[in-house]
Amino acid sequence: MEISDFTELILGLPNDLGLGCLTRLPNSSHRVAIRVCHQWQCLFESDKFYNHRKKTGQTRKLACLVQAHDQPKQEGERKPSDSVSPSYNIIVFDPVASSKGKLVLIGGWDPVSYEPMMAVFVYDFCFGRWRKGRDMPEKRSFFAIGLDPMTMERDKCEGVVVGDELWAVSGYGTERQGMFEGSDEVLNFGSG
Amino acid sequence: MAKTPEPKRTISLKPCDGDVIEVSPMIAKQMQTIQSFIEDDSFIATTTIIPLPNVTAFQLSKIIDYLNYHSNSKAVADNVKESTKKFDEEFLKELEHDKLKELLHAANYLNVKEVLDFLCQAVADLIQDKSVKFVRKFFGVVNDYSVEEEEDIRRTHAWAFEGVEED
Repeated sequence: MEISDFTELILGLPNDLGLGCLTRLPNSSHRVAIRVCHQWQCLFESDKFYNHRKKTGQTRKLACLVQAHDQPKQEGERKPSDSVSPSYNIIVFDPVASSKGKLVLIGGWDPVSYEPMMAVFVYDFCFGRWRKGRDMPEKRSFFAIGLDPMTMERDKCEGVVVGDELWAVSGYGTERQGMFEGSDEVLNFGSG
Repeated sequence: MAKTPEPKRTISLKPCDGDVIEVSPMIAKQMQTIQSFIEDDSFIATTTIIPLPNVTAFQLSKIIDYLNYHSNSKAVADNVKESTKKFDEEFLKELEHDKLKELLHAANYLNVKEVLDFLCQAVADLIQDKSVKFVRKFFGVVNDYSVEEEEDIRRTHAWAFEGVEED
């Protein structure tokens, strides 16, 4: 849906003015805006709107501090995602440049058992919510990628998220300290 | 070489509900709608009165006030910034919700970019951190969610509503 397809975003205001007001809403208010009506939800969750905000200079750079915490199992309280808590030592990728408003948390350690985890969590800034991605095929505590099986060890490789895919670029095998490779591998974490 | 001062001339604007208001060409220029009048060949600054059937005297004078203040305070010194902020706050204080929307209409009709930007931001600031109900009421948006849908979306985002005004 194109942005120009939205009509009467704000009753009685020409559409470009309505859009002008909504574009200036800070990211923190989007969670309220999507509950106002279907049309607003559609607008605030669309890539086009994000691009429009970006183009008009209304997007802000966000620094994210991600912290795992044990969540008490209380009646009526809902966890951000399924039943798995995000874990320690998660790897965070530049959410804006590489994956269009998504923050991807991969692997790490379980905060209680200190077991390495296979979980992949994705936070979508447009929707303002967490979802669980498809688990990595292998447990990884520091950064790694779980191709099944990964063709080689990749210490200190660069992780880049493109759409629903995670690319592990370069890196070196543990035995070949510092001898960086020119190759890459990819993991699709799309469906949870 | 000494410059000869330009002959002083003003542009006459007639709002829908009051007397003619004179503005300097510099202010008039910032109103695109007026600018197109001025550029018309048949326009004679000294005699032509531009009728503004969609703008009230109150709205016109608010817009002129804003432009006057801001065109005189382009400097970026801290004390100027401070007083500009104060001016902007005072400016908005006089505008209740409906008046703010109506002023947006007037600024849109006159096509004054600076005022439009300012007012759109003011609307955004006003609804920031307000409840969904407030936003709906302010904008006259009809709630088209079913009870189930509302509950569902609320649950999905439940953790995100800390710090937001309760409905």
